[in-house]
Amino acid sequence: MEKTIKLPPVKVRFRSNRKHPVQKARPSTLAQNPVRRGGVSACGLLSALLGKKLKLRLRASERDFDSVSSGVGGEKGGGEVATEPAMAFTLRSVKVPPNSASLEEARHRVFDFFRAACRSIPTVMDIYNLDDVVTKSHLRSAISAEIRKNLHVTNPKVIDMLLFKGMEELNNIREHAKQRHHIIGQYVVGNHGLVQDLGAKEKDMSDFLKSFYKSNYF
Amino acid sequence: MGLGLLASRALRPAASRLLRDPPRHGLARAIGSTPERQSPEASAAQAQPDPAPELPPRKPVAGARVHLPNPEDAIEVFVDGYPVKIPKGMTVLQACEVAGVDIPRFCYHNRLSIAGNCRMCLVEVEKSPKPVASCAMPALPGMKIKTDTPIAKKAREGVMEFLLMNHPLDCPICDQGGECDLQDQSMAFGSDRGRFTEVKRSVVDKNLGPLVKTVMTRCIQCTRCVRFATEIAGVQDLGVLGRGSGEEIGTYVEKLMTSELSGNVIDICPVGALTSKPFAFKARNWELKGTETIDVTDAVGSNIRIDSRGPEVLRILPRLNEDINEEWISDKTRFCYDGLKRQRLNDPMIRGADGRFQAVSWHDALAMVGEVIHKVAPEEIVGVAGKLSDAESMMALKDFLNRMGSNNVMCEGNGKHPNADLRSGYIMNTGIAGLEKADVFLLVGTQPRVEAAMVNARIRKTVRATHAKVGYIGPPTDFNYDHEHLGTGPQTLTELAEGRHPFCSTLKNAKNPAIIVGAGLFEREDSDAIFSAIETIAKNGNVVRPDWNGYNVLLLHAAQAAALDLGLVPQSPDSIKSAKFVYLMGADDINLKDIPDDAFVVYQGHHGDQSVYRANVILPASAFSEKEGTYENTEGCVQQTLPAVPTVGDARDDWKIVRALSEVAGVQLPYDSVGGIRSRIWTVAPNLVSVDEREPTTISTTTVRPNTNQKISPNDFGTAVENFYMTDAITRASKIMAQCSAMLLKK
Repeated sequence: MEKTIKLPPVKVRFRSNRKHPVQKARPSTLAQNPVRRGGVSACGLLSALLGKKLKLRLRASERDFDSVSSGVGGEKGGGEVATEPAMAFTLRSVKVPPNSASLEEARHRVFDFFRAACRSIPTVMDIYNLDDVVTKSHLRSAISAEIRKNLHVTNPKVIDMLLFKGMEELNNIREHAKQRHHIIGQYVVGNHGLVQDLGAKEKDMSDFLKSFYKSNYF
Repeated sequence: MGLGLLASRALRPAASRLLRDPPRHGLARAIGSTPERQSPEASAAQAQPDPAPELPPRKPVAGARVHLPNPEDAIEVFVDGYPVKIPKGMTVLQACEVAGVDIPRFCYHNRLSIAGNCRMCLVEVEKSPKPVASCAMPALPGMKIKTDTPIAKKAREGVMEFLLMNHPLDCPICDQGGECDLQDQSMAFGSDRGRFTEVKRSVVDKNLGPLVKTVMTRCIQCTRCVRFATEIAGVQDLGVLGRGSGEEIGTYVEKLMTSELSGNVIDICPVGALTSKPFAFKARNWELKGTETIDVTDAVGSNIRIDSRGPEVLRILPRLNEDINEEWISDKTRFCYDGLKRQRLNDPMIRGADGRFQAVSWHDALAMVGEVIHKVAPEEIVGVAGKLSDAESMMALKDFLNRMGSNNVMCEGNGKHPNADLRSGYIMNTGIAGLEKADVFLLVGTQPRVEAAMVNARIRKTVRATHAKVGYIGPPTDFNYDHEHLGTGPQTLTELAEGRHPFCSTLKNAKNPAIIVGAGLFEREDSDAIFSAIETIAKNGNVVRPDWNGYNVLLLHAAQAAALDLGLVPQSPDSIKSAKFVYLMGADDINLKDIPDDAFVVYQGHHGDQSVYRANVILPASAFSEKEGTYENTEGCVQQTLPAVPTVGDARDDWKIVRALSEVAGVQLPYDSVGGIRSRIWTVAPNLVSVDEREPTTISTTTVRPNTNQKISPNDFGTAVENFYMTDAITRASKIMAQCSAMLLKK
């Protein structure tokens, strides 16, 4: 595990940027959706009751995951999926939680996120057909490696932001908004590509051979 | 002729004239009906008192240089008042070109005979009652030519109007759009409005085969294609039928155009009547990226331009090189490009235990080859370079296998006993352009029409111009010029060598005799004996003299000359039959049955062709359109290809693969870059480094070739190229070439 799997953050950041205008528009879109009100009110309630938030919010988000993992055609969201605009679809289950009050709270949220992600692993392996390419434990360690990559971050606001991005990514994955090769490329193979077994030999390779393995153009 | 150039030509002189001479009649001379136009003499008389204008000296069109063979034959003419000296016999149009004035033209082409039927090149000549067609009028001493007078302009405008009268307005769907002479010239010289309101004529399209698409309604009857077919290609397939508005270009009977040069009519057609069938509706010319490179499908090394868009080669056009291909290329060169998209190898592969290939990483593939090569004895390692290999990769392969302890490196097509010691023994010593000076040709075991179409075009040009005699020894074959079939095999050769044949006297009496030997003879067991017989003929016929070397070998493949220069000569001729490790670098035409069953075969190449079926490991390489490689053509001219498109999949350049493999195998080659490998080549064959230069030979084989005690076998000479359209991995993968061989080959 010397070579940790690195997730290029570009894509995620780009997506979260795109979300902004939609977030502002959320009240109106959701207002048209009476079924979704519950979620909104729960969220609003949470933001109001910031003090005793943690357990309640966790439950809210869990319920949210359940509604998603029960499938697009689940009884709750079944009717609206077709009518909702495409942007709102990916956003549906992503909410902006209130800021963490302290580092301690942010830390807790990270663990919550990790648990949520781990719980979704069976679903993910199922919908993307990953059983023959990867094991659950490998995916778990891939998730933890992604989180550990931000080990140095101490600002709760930044942690919140990273959590949001992580949650968004997780939701995209669970909603089957990605394709199999995305998951394999990012979490199974990692960005070191198919050249895996270089190891110790790489040291006594010439620069020519190293670049030869990478591409024809050097 | 670029549109910008034409436009500036059309505008500039008008502006300068307005500045130069004050308005004579108080009104500027505009195009319209004026008294001068009615009587040109009047205008000529008026122009007389003009003071000698201070024209800036103009450069000849396209930087052409005028060569005056003997100065007393030079005459002086005045083009727009500017005096130029030209040799006698030049036409008015050529004189104008020397003076830097580009005359618009459609039917005139400087490599074809003069037809003078489009009338676009009309200019005014003083004391001539009418404008004259400059392409057909010889320039006379003291002639005063005017190219931008109102008369000339009016004449062009009128011609243009007539041409456009029956030309369809389908430029938006025409493949010639953007590179059309008619389009450009109507912008520069045409009128801004038309008066034609009738119905345009239409002409039935002709079927000229799988290569040339015809839209005959667009034809302006310039007859360039007819003249090309009869004069250059030497086939009487095209002709003009009918008169007046019923005039048509066509094949007289329902017949395809069966020439190996037929694609060139696409280039010479000034309009969109003849366009490329495979390229139809694929791209516009302004979307394409042109890469100036060379062709490798035969040993001529024709200069070509590869037009590509993104990763795709869309067409191949000829480039001007007077010494090699003039401005023509063969159909194989022009249309083989779709083979670059099919059957490509894109991943390294290893054949598994079940006999199926599995894609692996470069690391694994090289590791496997590096391991296996150490398990065999050095003398059981054999390397074969293919017919499309560049000099860099052949150098790397030879160095690599030499470091592994093997000296069995060969190049396919060079035979078992290649004579690489004397360069004059395997290149075309006269040079392709030099063949034009020859007056007698003796072709031995070669069919130049299919082996090297451009060399054949040069021989035909010579035969047409000087009525040179051609004698041919070999199986009956198709020639497009007069020839004398002397015999079919070595027996005739022996008769010639012993002076018993009537053709000997023709050879002896010739001023510049040229013997052309086909490289197909390299493969014969008795090649040494045959070559010494040919050299006897050369000695008897005084073919090799200090001022003339008429001893030529016409090679078949692009890699052959460089391979011999680099010394790719196997130590033991039959080494492949006892090999345990065979490295095929693009070699697809070797006899695979010779390779023992237990041999480990590595195939490095770009196409899944014949040898892949026998390979144990496949290393994907880049094709000639994707790499920078040095090639030496049959006359010893060294040229380079340039990458036009990126490589396919995970392929690598040939020499890089060998270099990487050498490191994995533990015998690292000492070069890491193209520059490095070229300096290595320089130590072996310095001529391969001076690009675009032809290195002539210094010593002639006829004087120093060792005697042989081989016996000439009585077997007749064979044909080296069975199918002109399919000779290598690229052309065999090409669909267009497959169509051609199905439809055009003579059965």
